Amino acid sequence: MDEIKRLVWKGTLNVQIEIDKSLIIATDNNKSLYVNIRIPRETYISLFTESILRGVKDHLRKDLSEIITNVWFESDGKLLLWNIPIGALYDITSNLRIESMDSISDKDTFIQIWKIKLVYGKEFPAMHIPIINGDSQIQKYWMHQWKQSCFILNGSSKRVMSLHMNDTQLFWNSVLNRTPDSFEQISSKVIPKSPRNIPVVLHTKGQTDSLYHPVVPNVNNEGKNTTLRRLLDDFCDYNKFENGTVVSQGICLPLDLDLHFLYSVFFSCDGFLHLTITYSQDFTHDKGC
Amino acid sequence: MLSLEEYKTQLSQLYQSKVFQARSDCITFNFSTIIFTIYFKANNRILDATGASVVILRIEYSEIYREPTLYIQLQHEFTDVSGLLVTKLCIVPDMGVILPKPVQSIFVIEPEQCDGAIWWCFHQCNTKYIIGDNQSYKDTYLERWVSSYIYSWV
Amino acid sequence: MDRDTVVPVLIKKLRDRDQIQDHYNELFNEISPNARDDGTSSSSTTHQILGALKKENTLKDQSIEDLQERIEIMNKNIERLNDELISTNIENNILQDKFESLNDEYNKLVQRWLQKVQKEADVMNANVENINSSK
Repeated sequence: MDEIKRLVWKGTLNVQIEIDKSLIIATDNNKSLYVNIRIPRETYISLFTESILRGVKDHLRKDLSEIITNVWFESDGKLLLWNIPIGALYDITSNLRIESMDSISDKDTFIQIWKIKLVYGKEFPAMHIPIINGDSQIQKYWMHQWKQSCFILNGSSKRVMSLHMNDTQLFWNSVLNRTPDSFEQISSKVIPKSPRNIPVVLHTKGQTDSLYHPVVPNVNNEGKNTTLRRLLDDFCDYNKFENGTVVSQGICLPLDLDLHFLYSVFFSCDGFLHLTITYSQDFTHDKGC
Repeated sequence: MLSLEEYKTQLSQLYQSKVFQARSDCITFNFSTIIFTIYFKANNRILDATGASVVILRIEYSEIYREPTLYIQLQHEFTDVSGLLVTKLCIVPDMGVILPKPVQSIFVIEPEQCDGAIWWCFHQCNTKYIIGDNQSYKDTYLERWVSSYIYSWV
Repeated sequence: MDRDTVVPVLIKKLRDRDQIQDHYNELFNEISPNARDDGTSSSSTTHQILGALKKENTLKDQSIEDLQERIEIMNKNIERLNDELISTNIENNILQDKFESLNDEYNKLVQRWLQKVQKEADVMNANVENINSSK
């Protein structure tokens, strides 16, 4: 179990970010400007905005402070909600899924890249939560997510509210500085051994702006533990699902998994289990479970 | 804490009592069984603090917290180049400024996605402590919620 | 599914996932969210000039925006003026039509008046002739 948690925490994405042309000093050949970075799956993308822009600051037309509040990320022209962990965003948007290196015929030329765009604009897209107060706002939002997941798990937010100030800061720093031990230590204070309900967020493949928080009991009325299949039965259009898949942390999941167990190893940095559902007719090549 | 059915009944009572609709500063409203949206003219405190002239309240139900939930949006109105009156979402760094000083520490207001737009949500994790969760006063739960969450600042 | 069987399956899948991501990942720099400015380069003259130019650029952008807004207002005004012109033109045409029809009517009336006066004169002349001849 610890090994799964370690792998979940360590997961990264190769991301190529194209900087909005309106931000760059025009050159003769009008070339696009890219930043290639490796980002941990379990974090928020907007925490990196400043670092990304700082890396190309000599090419920017304006001072960083003037643009930082007016940028967001898009993939194929669709807004990426910064308040969803990056790994989940990737699972929602990436079209092609390769299950293992063995299925790749030409390994020498293969490279996995997620191409996204950093966009600048005066008017925000409707679903973008404006970041006016920088990282502290992101931290606040994240803390509220934990209060919410704590409420779902325990029936009250007390366990989060009563965390010591130092612990709260240590908890946040563990996400920022990628320290799994302190993350594990503090999250275990919040997550009980046998939770009432499981904090789940359901995403639909290809739809970056549709998220659904179902209320899923850990143990149902008949005294049985909820499985992933049961969750789909209750909250998805099962006829449409049929041969569909459920992806979390970048992998396809077996449907007869116990949901509580899945949560305990796959929960994201915000205390929720993010599941991306691919309906069968949408992506025929997303197979291999 | 309020069940969805109790909430629906009490919300419909709230709607029928016309407490919001009858106010002179109410611009318009919209009601469905679980969502009640009311547009108000901003009072001077809000206008001074944010520049917004319209306050939109949206009363909804949170399945997670099993509580009534208040979402708000501030809008400012201005005349565009073609002479039409248009409204624009008002974004302020700290929504707490719309509240009078004494109640600022009680509520936590944070932006959230809701119904395809950004709304500022009054967080629900301490609702039952603010309202009082005594079973015998359950019938007036929403009424008390309205007086704490709305009348304290609108 | 039995937990003992599922754990190795999940681990295998996650490792496969990582193997795919790690392929050529040396091309992607690791980045830290709180990377602060190192401050070493900002003191050089080039950077000072760059900073100043960026500020100037911002001001220019601002003035472009202002001017664009003014152009927009002007365009609206031109549009309004055009509308006005069209409406006065239409009005002019209507008045012109009205004038012509009135003019026609007037001419007809004058004709009729003249005919009437001619008739009266003829009658009078005839009367005068009759009187003269009866004398």
